[in-house]
Amino acid sequence: MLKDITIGQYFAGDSLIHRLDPRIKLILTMLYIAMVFIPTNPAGLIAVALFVVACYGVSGISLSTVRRSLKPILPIVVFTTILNIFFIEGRVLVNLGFVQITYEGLLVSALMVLRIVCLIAGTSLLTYTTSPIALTDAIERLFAPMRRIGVPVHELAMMMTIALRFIPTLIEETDKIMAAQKARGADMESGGLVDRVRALIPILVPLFVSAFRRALDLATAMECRCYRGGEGRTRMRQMQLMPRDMVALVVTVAGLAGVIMLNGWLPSVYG
Amino acid sequence: MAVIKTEHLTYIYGAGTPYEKRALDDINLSIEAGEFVGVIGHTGSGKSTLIQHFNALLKPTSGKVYIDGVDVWAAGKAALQGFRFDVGLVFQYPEHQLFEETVYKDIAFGPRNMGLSEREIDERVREAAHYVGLTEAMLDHSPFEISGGQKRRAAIAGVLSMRPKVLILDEPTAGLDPRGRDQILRLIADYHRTTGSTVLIVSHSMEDVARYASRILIMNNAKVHAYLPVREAFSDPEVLMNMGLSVPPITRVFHRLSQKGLYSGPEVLTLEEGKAALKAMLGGAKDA
Repeated sequence: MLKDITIGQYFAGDSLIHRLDPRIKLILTMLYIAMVFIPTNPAGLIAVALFVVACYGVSGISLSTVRRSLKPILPIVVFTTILNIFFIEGRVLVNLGFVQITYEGLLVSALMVLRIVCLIAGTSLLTYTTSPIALTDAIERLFAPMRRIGVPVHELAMMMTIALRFIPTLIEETDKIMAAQKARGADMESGGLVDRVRALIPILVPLFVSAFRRALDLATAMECRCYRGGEGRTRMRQMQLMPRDMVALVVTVAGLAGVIMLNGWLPSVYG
Repeated sequence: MAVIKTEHLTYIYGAGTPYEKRALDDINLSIEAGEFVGVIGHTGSGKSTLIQHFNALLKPTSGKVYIDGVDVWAAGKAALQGFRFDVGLVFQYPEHQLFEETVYKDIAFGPRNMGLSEREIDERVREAAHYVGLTEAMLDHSPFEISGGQKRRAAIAGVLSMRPKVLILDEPTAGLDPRGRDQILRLIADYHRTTGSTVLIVSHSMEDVARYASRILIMNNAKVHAYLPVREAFSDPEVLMNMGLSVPPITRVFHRLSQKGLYSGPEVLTLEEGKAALKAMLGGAKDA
């Protein structure tokens, strides 16, 4: 049940996109987000969508995975669509008396849906093709200059790495504790709100106790290996920019430029 | 009568995903009331998955589980809780599930979920504490400030207090020192003797199983390899070794002896039996 959560799930692979430098991938994702928000015309956004589909093709990750990652945001999509359809004025297509559906409303909401889908699908590709460790490593490297203004970049990145590492462990632990309390007749599925919150206590208390125990164990283990923060720390895996990283950067920047130009030529749907 | 029975029980983890794994494969089993069963099998053989079917925590992918002759999953969701009171399951490292302010309250968690009266709850808590050897004074302590062995016993008492007809323990001695192990095993054996309830105990220690169990359930690669009396189970060490299991050291010694023609008699399972057999052999030699 809890195992079905797939936020930021990494699929190991060996595609071109998997092998890109994580720092570059992070930058490309930023560029891509800009690309998604620039178009004010369906044609421009369709071009962006095609770009994502092409990237998925290269990565070897199936589009059905994308469908699963889109499921949680479905309510948001439906909600914004409904708002847009009914509340944008323009050429009336259907008149229901108290509300009316307009051509502009349909167009804007279609654009909105496509934008959200592109945003989620594109940014998910980053976590699908980059292991959490590589990702936090990249964040640490990219934000390293901020150390000068007193931001503890290394410590933040380490905290993030540890947090990510422990998500599956804690999920497994929760499953175990839930099973153990159910074996003693704990009922977590019925009753009112108060009952349900109360039913969480037998789960949460042991979970916290075990999380603290694990944290202490981990701290001891890290100290045993002489960890003492980021000062003067070297890395086993050096990141090095390769020609393919440059190619990916050029392609994406060209794509961004293309989208901006296309947007200049095409009329905006926002009037 | 069989207190637990399974028919073609199959369980598949993560069905339909790339991580699909057949954890139980067509299990047909019938455990009689009053037995003391040792469940053995290498890691990943399906032991833990199997016992979680016995108290309706896991739903079979296909096949049926009967408790006291009642089909568990045909009775509807509301009845599941009742089966969990009938078949008490003590998980591995059960002390990790303690959560209440006092040991007393934690042991009372099960009975309270059963909806019993305060008087009945009190009686059961004290009875369970007595079985596991916790003193009255300890009941008022926080479960987080007592020793490791005491925590384990408090957690076991939390299941005993439901007075289950069947008691299942998943490696109850894992991580305990030798004395703690003996205490736990002895209290389980005492509980079995005094209440006459059915007990299943998952263990990696062949010695413990040989010493306490009347029958042995051998799991291998998601299937039941055998379910038979202890003495028969340890009569063929080769088969067990091939499954990554073993027989108690003393049994192995007497096997070697009988292979050399020095010993002929029933299977030796415990040190006491070994001592007696050895004495008889030496005594016999003197007479000759």
